[in-house]
Amino acid sequence: MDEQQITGPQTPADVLFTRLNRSVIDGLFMMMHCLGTYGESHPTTLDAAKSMGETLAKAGLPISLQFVGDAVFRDGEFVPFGTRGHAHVLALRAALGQVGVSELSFSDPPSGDDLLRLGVALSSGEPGTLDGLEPRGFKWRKLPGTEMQALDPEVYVSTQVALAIEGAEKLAAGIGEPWDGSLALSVIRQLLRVQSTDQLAGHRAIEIGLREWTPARRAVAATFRALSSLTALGVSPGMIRAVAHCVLACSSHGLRDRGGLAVGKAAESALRAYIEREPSAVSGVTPHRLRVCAMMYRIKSARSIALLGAKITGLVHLCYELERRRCPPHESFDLTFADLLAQAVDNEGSTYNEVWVRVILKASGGIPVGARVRLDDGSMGLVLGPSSAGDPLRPSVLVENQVVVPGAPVELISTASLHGAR
Amino acid sequence: MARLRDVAITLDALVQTRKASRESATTELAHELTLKWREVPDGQLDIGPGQLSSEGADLLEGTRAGGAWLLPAYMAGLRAIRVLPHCGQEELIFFATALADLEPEVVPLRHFSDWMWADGAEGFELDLDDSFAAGLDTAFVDIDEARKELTEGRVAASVAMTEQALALATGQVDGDVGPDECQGPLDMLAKKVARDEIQLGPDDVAALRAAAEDPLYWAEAEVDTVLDNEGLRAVLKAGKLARRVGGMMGRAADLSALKLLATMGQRKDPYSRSLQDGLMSGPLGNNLAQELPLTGASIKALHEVLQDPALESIAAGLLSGLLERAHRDKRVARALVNVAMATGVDSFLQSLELNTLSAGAARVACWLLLCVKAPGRQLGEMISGLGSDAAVAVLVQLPEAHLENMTPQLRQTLLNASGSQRHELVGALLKQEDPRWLKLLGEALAESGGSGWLERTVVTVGLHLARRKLARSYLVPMVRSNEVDPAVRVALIRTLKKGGTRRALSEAVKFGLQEMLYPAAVRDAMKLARKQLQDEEAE
Repeated sequence: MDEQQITGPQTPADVLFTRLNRSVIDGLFMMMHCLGTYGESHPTTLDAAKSMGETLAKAGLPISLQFVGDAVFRDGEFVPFGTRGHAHVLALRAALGQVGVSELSFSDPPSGDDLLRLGVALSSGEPGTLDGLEPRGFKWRKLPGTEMQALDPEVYVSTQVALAIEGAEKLAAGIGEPWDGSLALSVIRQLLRVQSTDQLAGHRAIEIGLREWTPARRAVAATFRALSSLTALGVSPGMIRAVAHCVLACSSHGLRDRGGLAVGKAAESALRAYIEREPSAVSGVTPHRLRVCAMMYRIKSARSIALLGAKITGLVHLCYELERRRCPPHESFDLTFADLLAQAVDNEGSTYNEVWVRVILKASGGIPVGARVRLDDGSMGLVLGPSSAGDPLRPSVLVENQVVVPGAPVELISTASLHGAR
Repeated sequence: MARLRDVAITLDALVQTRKASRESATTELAHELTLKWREVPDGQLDIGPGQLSSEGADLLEGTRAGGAWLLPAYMAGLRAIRVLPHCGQEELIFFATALADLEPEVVPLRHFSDWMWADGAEGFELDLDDSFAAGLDTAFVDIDEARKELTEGRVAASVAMTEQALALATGQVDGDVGPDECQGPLDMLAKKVARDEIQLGPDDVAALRAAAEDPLYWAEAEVDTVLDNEGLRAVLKAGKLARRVGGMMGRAADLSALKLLATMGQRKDPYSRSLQDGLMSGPLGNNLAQELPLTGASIKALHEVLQDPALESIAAGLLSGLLERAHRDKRVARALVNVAMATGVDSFLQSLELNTLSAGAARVACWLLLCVKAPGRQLGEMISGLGSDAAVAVLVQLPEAHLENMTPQLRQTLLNASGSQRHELVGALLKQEDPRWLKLLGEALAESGGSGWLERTVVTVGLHLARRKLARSYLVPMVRSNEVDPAVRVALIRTLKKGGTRRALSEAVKFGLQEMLYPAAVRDAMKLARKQLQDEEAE
């Protein structure tokens, strides 16, 4: 396939692992099928139950199977199937779903009788039928977060942000090695999920909390900022992903516990790592990789930041720079996004491109989430987002443990002044 | 829908062909699919786990026999496929191969998903969703616990802030809390928000979006990046980059594209040369010539390209296209006069690949030379370099005063042009009723022996020669030469009968022993002519 090879070779261990997992699912399906067709006392059904027990033992216990969405996982690892096997997965998921189960765990080889009882209970389709079973060697449960996105988008978003930060931490830990483009894209996908679920909640999850402003968290903040800004402009998805990747890579390479490298240096380092990337997974140069490298190259080569201008590299610079300044090198405190945005507005046209500052300002809705504000009654709080008042200066504010909508415009408080800095 | 179904079936056939590594059928199927997909440019193929559909109508079932790639593609997150206008056979084959290689296994699915998210499916627009493998990331999280933690974290942050403020008020924080300079920017931000000064107008948004997607900017950036980084050059073939860049720039051929080509032309390394050749042989060269606005800046840039020997191949392709365009658009022709003047006639001519110019382009080139008052020598050199058809097109329109110096070119063209083109040139020359041209035509006819000449051309020239009493010099020797094509000889005998003198005709058909060696058709024509002469004499 020319110079690009999309799929790399599988190791024999991968193949064996998948085969064993498939045999467990097939065994379970076969037992259920025999139960439904022949009844529980038929020799074929008994054989199927016995065979299922043996298969489980071969697969290596303990083992847990998760049925989520249209997929099945073994101990959290996705188990892919062909067309026929996938139909079995869907049938099993439907049967389990009816009795409110999404995970089966086997710790010891279960007896054929216990497995049969499990099968009968699942076949009944009645919620609660499993309650009376007291089997040895296996248990079941409904996974708590399987419908989280619909049940509580705020919590879902927060979880995705936490996962994205975790991913960014792994990326940062790999600095000095070739860049893991696959992991970076996975972080970006998590942030895209956040954005499509509830963008404002995404900003809250990133900005508000007691977590430290580590480089990974700041990298995620910068990336999410770029995503939100470009989405608001209606830029194409491919371009958004490329910009997000560039911001993430530059931030991962450039941000330090306090402050960070100049953006040109960060881009230079990121470019080197991305070019050096081992051609293992997606080898060759995909359009995305080339575009990201081109952005880094333009930033690294710019004789002055002003030359980045209204081009998209100007946005990369702005998103990176704001997070670089989040943790001032010679101070012990961290700034809120409102502080950073206020600085950007103050310096627009000189340090930053004013157009991009306005884009970010608009995307953050005026008074950004996480801003420290004083209400007219003197109380202080954190901005959670726009309120029902419709006035950008009367946002929804968290005051200690209460969410309030101020009666009058709030006053923004500088973090630096709270810490006595000039 | 029937056409989309056809697309779906052909795509599946191509995937199966790739899976079976049947190279011979691949190109044919890809060609077929390209044509079929172009007929439904807005058609979208929706991927389901077991079927391919469009607007709710099933087009293809996923079975072992066909469409087996649907389920793994769906598992990897592919949801819809739309073809882009620049999608060619190469892209189709690459995409089909990717689908053919896709197995329902963990590693291939992950790689395929990464490949799609990295825009690897060039020539297509894909709708993507999360891969099945990503479906478990929140499943184990206890919602109630997570909700509690989230709320507590936020409340704690709010309380912490209040405590900081209180500490500040009671002087427990280190530092000198003086006049608050940090507050200024925040107040300004609040003012901007209050005055609604943060809005972006629709024009601003459109301009930013255009700047973000600016194909020329990216083409230039990507070329620079690859050319300056050996690591990328090692894994990206110049031809592939040329296709990509050409596709981007082809949509917006302007001055920047020209400048990019000019910059690239300065590089002498093999990779840059291949990239340049790839670009100019693709649609970019033509698009640039057809769409480049000829303003002052681009004329200057063109001038620079023409001046630089390193950009020879770029200049030739570009000028040829521009001359074609000028043939249809007089404004372009006038702009090219400025280019020719600025560049100098010699450089201008050197930049042209004369033998490839079409008749229209050659006429414009000639017109340009006349406009800049190029010496006859240069005009002659240009005509000499043209292909014969283009030369005829130029010569037939050349003003009489210039034609006088073109005898060698005319002779050469008369000898080399195709039949109909020669006839056109002959007509133009005869129209001038200049004895010099008639003599030239006689010489050319005699030299060529009429080989390749149309019969009507032979007759026309023959009649004119005969009427000018030149038949005995040019026509009679031809009739009597066995080296001349018999058909030409017969035509000339007819011509002499029609317009020649009795003396010339009788000389041409006079009996001699050598007549026995003439072809039968010639002998018959001669006999007939002699009989006519005798009959006339008897009367």
